Order: sequence, then structure tokens, then C-alpha cells
Amino acid sequence: MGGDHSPDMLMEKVVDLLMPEQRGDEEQAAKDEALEETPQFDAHILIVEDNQTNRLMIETILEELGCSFDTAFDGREGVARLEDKKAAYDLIFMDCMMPVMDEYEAMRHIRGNGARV
Amino acid sequence: MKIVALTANAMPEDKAKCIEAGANDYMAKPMRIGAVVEMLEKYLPETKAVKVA
Repeated sequence: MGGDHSPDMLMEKVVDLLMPEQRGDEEQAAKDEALEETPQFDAHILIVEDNQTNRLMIETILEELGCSFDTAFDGREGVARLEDKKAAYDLIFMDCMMPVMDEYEAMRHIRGNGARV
Repeated sequence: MKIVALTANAMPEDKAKCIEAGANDYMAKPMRIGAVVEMLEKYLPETKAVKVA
């Protein structure tokens, strides 16, 4: 027997050839297991982010973590969202360098030290 | 209300500026799932973490 193939590799090959459906199950099981290890949060998040790519990235991550979220596209919209249903958000993820109302202005406003929109 | 600022600049002065403006914390972009989990665990009440069977 050549030294290139470990017994594990040989076994995998045999399983592939003889029982492809079983191997598929194993792969699915491994994926499910990986998913189960992702922590889940029962949280409602406000995302304030003007960049579409970044927004999509954050939304994808939050979906994976089981969070629900609302999205605002700039600081002013973010503040408007908060005034709509103030207590509903558990956490705010806010971009820096936003148009219309930058995050510093928006945060001051949320904290109640700034001028009204 | 807890605010996490998202910034492309991981410079200490940017972090300080965010905190001064009222953010509780900050995360560098691009965001990674590990960093998000860390923030959720840090700022959400424990009851918001769902135990996965």
C-alpha cells in the first residue's frame, strides 16, 4: 500500500463511492452543527449606516445571529426612527461619517444635548 | 440606549471622539461576526441571549 493515502482518506473514498447519500448527510450534519454554535440573540437593533455594502454586511451578520433590525440611512433618519418608538431598540449600531447629520450630531441629539432636527 | 459607533478608522482619537459624542463603544469596519457577538454579549441584558439547543 502506498504511503499517500491514510486509512481515513480511503474510508472517505469508499463511503463516497458506495454511499454518497450518507456522506451528504454527514456534511449537512456538520453544517447544522456549525450553525448551532452561532449564538442567537432575541434583540431588536437599529442600524444607522449610509453605505449600502456595509449595511448589507451588518444586516447579514445580525440575521445570522437571530436579531431583528430596522435600518436608517443617515443620522436624521436614525433619530426619527428612535423618536417613533423610543424604547423598542436594544442597541444602536451607528456609522461614523454619515451625510445629512453626522453620527456625532446624531448621538448628541439622542443623548438630549443637541438641537432638534 | 446603548450606542455602538462603527468606524473605518481604528485610531484611538476616533474612538475617543465617538465616546465623547455619546457612544458606549465602537467597532472597526469591516464588521466581523465575532465583533458583533462581543458587542451583543456586552450590551444586551442576559435575557436577550437565546440558548440554542
